Amino acid sequence: MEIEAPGGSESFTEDDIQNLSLQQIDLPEQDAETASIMESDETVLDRLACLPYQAFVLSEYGRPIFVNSGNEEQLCSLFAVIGIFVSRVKLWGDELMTITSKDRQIQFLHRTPLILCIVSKYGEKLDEQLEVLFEQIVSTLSRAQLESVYRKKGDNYDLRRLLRGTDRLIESSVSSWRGTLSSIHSAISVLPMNPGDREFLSATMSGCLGAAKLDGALFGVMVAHRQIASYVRFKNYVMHPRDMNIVINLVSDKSLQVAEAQTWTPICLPHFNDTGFFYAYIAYPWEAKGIPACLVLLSVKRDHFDGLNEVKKRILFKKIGSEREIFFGNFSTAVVKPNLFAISQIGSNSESLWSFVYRNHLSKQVCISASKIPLISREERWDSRSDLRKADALVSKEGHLRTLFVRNTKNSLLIWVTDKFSLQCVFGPFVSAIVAFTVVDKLLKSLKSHEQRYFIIHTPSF
Amino acid sequence: MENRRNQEQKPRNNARLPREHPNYSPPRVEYTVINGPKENPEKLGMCRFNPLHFLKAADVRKHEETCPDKEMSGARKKALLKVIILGDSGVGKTSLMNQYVNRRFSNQYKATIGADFLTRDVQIDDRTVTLQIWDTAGQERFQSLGVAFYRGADCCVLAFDVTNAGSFKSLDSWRDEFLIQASPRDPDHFPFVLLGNKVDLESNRAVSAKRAQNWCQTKGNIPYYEVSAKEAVNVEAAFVAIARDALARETQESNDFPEFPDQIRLNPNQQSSQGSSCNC
Repeated sequence: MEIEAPGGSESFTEDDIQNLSLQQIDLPEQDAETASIMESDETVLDRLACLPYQAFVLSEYGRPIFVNSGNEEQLCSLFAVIGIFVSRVKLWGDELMTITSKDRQIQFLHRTPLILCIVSKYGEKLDEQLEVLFEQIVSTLSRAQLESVYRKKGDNYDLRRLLRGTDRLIESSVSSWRGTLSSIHSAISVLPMNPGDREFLSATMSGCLGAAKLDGALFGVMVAHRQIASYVRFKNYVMHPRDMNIVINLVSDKSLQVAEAQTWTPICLPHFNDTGFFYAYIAYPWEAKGIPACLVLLSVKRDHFDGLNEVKKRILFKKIGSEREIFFGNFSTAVVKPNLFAISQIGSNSESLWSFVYRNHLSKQVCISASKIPLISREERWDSRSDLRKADALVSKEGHLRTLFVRNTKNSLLIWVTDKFSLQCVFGPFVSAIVAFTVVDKLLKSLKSHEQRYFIIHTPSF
Repeated sequence: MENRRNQEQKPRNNARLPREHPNYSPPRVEYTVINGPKENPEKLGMCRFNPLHFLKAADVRKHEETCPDKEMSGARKKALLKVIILGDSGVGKTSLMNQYVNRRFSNQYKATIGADFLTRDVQIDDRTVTLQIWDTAGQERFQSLGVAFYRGADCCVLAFDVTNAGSFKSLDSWRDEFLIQASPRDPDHFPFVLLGNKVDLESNRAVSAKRAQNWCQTKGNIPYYEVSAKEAVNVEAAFVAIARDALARETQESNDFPEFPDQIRLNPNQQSSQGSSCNC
């Protein structure tokens, strides 16, 4: 059967990677992971144990660099043990990958000069999460600098001095894992918008960037709620979804969200180039109006701040008049009240479908359903997220898996994988396979007919 | 926004209006990179959010107001030192350390992986220094601990038993082992400390203080402390000295800013393959 894959056929990038979720489906931290300054070692350990993912970064000689509970110096014995586990096994001519205990999985990644480790009850795809964590650190220092820093400054250099202030970014990157399915780290999720509005925005952005003729300005992105509203690029250059997520993670930091502020910061996007830096122009043009949208313009030239500042002004003021007013009204609604894919819109029998995650393999974009009864509360959503996470791990482990329908006591899972897309659904426990597939068929048709609302089908270049 | 544009052309004199005031309009803040062409370096401050952000000094305060969480916004971290303890089996390394540090992780790993790890904070003036102490096993079978044990150390503590002349003679080989494995950048000036343990057993003393001090002198004036399991006073002094020394070294290293050496060179041919399936 030939199935049309909603979400476009424009290939995003070749590699496989992932991304994020949004407000309604996001599962943000219940408590801020902030640390008070005076805590006993026990308190720090207890707090760490409560986190669903416990992430450690250390030098390969056992010096602590980061732990997502904060207060890494109080855990420095633990860091040393992690380091020795890895280097011991290396001494045997082997490589330590994972340790599995009764209900925890410990995953290691040795990327000279760093060792990364993650401990979790949710053992699926931890290896990929460590890659994401490593890239998050690379985005601050670049791979080239990371590899040379210990050579230049000595093995006992404290890398925290170079990473100072970026704990929060690393932490939010780790936190984003809980809210998302692991398969989403390598994809981007798109802010639902009227197709016409998106087109207007993209055309404005690419038009203004193109008109500025800034040699080296490559990308423009409009981000809201960790989702992409619009993405434009120079010629054939493409941004890898995992790089995109590094940018999204950066601009989602609250401290940058100052009305009328413009930030200019170097950032390394490792999939594009892990030795050099982009310079990101970041502005929240409507922050004062309560619209949390962020404009990011990326250039390889460090002296493009003024030029990109002009581009921003032109993007904001272009086409003064009714067209712009209408766009702005629609856009602010789309940002302030994100209009996620409501399952009810697919019609009959839709009540049996509780939740889904759709991923287009070519465009590397995902669409996640808005939460609906009975998956409303945090716990309910977390449980179904765990089911989907397991399903996702199954798909990546069993390469031949195409369709799977499992009926559990609490729900039923349907997985459908083709070359073009993968779809994971949570159904009610009483649904039959036949009904489920009928619903999924309708779902795909509905996604297809609204694909321009939920996906970026066309990324204009300038 | 059109309104704002008009406002910008007027002289702006509302800096003192409170945020809640209806006529308040937020100041325009422009963050600029430090090595930008037109900037006077003296006017630049560093944003605490990220060492990579350089702000005009006047804006730093504003920025800090918006991220009040000082702890997370990159306040200066406690200094952290990796300290290795080496010496023959039975000289009392572990009992000295147990007396000195909190015991949380002690004696858990030594038999398995050849070392225990202990943590101790030391107060030096107004700064706290965390010592990450690597208490190694002196047994033969762990003699080759691998470079990961030794490398990255800030200080090496050598321990011997004053009632055991053999343990004193081994010091040379422990020191050599350390210097070979750790290969520090400046081996002649790498900070060692020598501890002579069990001085409470004075009647059985086999190594005189004089002899130990002489050895220390020949190795570049290593500080020597005589200690005992009953009296940890000198151990404390030894570690305070270690920490003070390391802090002094740290302040010498002033350049902690990341470098941005390589501009990305764009190669359109290379990228076009990635975008080849683009249908636009």
